[in-house]
Amino acid sequence: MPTLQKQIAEKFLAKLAESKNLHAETIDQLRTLLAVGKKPKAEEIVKIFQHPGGGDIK
Amino acid sequence: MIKLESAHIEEVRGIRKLDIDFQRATFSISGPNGSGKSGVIDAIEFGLTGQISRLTGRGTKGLTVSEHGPHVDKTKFPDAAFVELKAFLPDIGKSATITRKISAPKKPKIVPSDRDVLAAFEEVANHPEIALSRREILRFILVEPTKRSEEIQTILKLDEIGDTRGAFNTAQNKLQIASQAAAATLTSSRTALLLHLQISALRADDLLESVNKRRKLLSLPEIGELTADTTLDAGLSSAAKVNDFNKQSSLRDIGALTEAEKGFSVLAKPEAAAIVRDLARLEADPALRAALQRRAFIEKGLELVEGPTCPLCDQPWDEEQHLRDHLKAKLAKSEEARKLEEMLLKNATAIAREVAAVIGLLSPVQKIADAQGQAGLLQTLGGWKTNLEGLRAELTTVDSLTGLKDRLATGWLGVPKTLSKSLQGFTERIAAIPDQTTTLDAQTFLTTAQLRLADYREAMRKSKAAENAAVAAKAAYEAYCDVMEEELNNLYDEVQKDFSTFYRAVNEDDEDQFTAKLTPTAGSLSLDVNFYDRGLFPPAAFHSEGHQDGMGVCLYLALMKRLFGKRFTFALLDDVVMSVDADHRRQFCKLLKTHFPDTQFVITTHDRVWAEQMKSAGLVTAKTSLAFHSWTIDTGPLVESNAEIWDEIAASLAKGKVEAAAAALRHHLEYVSRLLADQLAAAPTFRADGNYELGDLMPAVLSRMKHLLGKAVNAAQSWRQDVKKQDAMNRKQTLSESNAALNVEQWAVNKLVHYNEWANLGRRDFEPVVKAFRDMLEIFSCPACNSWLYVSPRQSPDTLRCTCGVISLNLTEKK
Repeated sequence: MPTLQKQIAEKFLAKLAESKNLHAETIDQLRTLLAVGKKPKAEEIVKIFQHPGGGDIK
Repeated sequence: MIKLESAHIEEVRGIRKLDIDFQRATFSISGPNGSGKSGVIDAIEFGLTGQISRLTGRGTKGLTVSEHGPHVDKTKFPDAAFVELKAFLPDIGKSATITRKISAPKKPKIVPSDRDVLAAFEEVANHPEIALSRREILRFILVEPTKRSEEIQTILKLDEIGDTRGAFNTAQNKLQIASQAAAATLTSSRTALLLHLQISALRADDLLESVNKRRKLLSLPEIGELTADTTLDAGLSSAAKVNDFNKQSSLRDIGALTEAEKGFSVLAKPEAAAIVRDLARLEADPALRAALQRRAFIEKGLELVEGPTCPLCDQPWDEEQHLRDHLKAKLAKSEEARKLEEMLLKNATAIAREVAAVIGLLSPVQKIADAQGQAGLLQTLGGWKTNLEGLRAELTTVDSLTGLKDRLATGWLGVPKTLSKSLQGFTERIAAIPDQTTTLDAQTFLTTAQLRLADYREAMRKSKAAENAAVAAKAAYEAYCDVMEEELNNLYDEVQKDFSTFYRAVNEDDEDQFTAKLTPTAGSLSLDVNFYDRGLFPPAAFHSEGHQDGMGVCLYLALMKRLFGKRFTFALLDDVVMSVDADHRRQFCKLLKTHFPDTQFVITTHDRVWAEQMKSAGLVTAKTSLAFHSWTIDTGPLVESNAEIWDEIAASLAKGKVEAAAAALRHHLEYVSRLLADQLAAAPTFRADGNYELGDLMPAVLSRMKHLLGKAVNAAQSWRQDVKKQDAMNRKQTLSESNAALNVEQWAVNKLVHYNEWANLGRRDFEPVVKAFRDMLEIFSCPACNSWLYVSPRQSPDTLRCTCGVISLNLTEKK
């Protein structure tokens, strides 16, 4: 993954964790998705948020 | 990244067979136009990335690497065309070889095939921007802001970040639509529950009051608190629960649908009319329709891109990025279509909400008809419900909306013609049923209430989950946008600072206060540069072409520094400072040496003076520079070097080819005289057109050298430096003698080349001419490093020297 993209992904995930609005499980799934290096697909993101753990805002 | 150690090129572009020893160092390749320099760049780029940017992009339609990558005589034998590169991989401390054939650009052979080695080469292959040509420089400087934004986004791979942002946006939109659908279902089930309970709002007290009234009748304990586990018909026997027909509730359900039916003809009429209007506009404007159709098609295609083959038409592309750029450019052209699409979907969503509400009303009646064995009504309602559910699904895309135009224009709800009559008959039928006993009424009331509460609870759970998913996805999307914007602003700030620093370094003599401003706005990136403290202007407003070239290279270097940081170890610069003048090119050398000491640049130029400046500035050495003197279709580039030029001339003479020998000699003399005139600060008779010929330059060079050597002798004498004095005297004497020989023989060279009288000269006539020039030129070079002598500083020299310092003759006498 190019440096800048990686940098943005890391800060994005850190921001999500800091906001405490999302479950850690959701953040982990997003981390895995972004770490693959391929462009994430909208459907993959939808699935993460539709997951019971992903959809429930604390 | 990498550092190039060596290259072996065969039958690629204009090259037949060529080996270059790059030594992991900055390397220059010079030669006149058409001598094969860019072919070397193409070959290296191909070896590293599998593509040749000269054959892709704008203005290259019809060109492909497979057809036009091989030498023109080998187009039918692409297997013969290949590049073998040996590279050092600093990140892992290994050297490796990559061999790539034109016939299999995506399947290089890499040795050793260690995972880390393969990964390192794959990274390079993903960065075609390591090659920069002058044509590409202008992409950064002279394009409009939107285009610049695209170009810079491409080089920094920002489009990938944009793709990720787009995926988050699409996801949150989809979840938003799903949430709206779930909310509509919730509303329907809520309406059904309220209707049954005969309460106006779903407050726990009201609900319990309605329920407890029946429970009291049945002597069941009242429910004190409504919790998630509360069962409204708790305590009823199983037998009592079997019957859920409640006459009054049924009448209310049928009545609600009957009442609603009165308004069906005007339901969402403005939204339906707006959709019909927009669809008509589409029909009347084929271009807009095509843009919209393509938009959906292309958006889908873009989402499906996974490699360099178009998922829409199976057309192979040289690389995935070019395919993506192509699809994105098409999307950008259809902004009007996008707005239209947005309006269509907004109105369709409003209609979908109404559809959900109608389904919510008819569903209870359908159940009652089923329970009462009303097959005709059941069929009517069942068919209608299925039809409405189909309609709701079709209200989600523009494509499917197009097929709904007639329906939306003529009563989109599709109310069955017999509905009114059927409902009236059904109402009468239910009303005719003897009133239920108070007990039965209370029992069925509770049973139905519990069923509807359960439906409502399920709808509420799903709606809440859908809403949470939508909110969470929106929060994630906004977080991504915030981080992206912040990082991009930081990036542009850093690029802007580096760009200004680099440009000032190149132009410190006249623009040491230079500043630049990169301003990102939605989808565009403006570049303004300071012009002599008179304000910020677009680069092409007042700066010369040479300055713009300089800006292009500086911006490129700033971007690469930001992209790779310390890992920026390799770049191919193909004739990129063509319009930059000599003084600024010296500064450019200094910039590369100072700011990029760990980066290996392979620099081509058609300007031999610039090639020599790179040597005198210490950017390259004799061993890390290569000069082509010409090119033929049969031989490819012909390498020129101090040692080999004389061998080539001798070889030609040995074959009796005096014409070829004379042409090579003259070419070499033209090059050397131009170079030495510059390096020694000679003063040929001024020509306004700058078109100096050999006859203009060589006498001025000889005269200048005599003058300099005279000064060197005098200076050495004054400082009592006997060895240096002797060296200067020897050179001066040799020059005088050789010059005398030239006076006699120079006509022969000129005549031979210009007047085509070579037929009268034989090998023996020409050999003395060659020797005279060879001897003479030795005076101008260093036997140790082979570099040409130059004066320093150029304006008022105090030294005549070579690159390695073995020759360093003082020109200033002791006072």
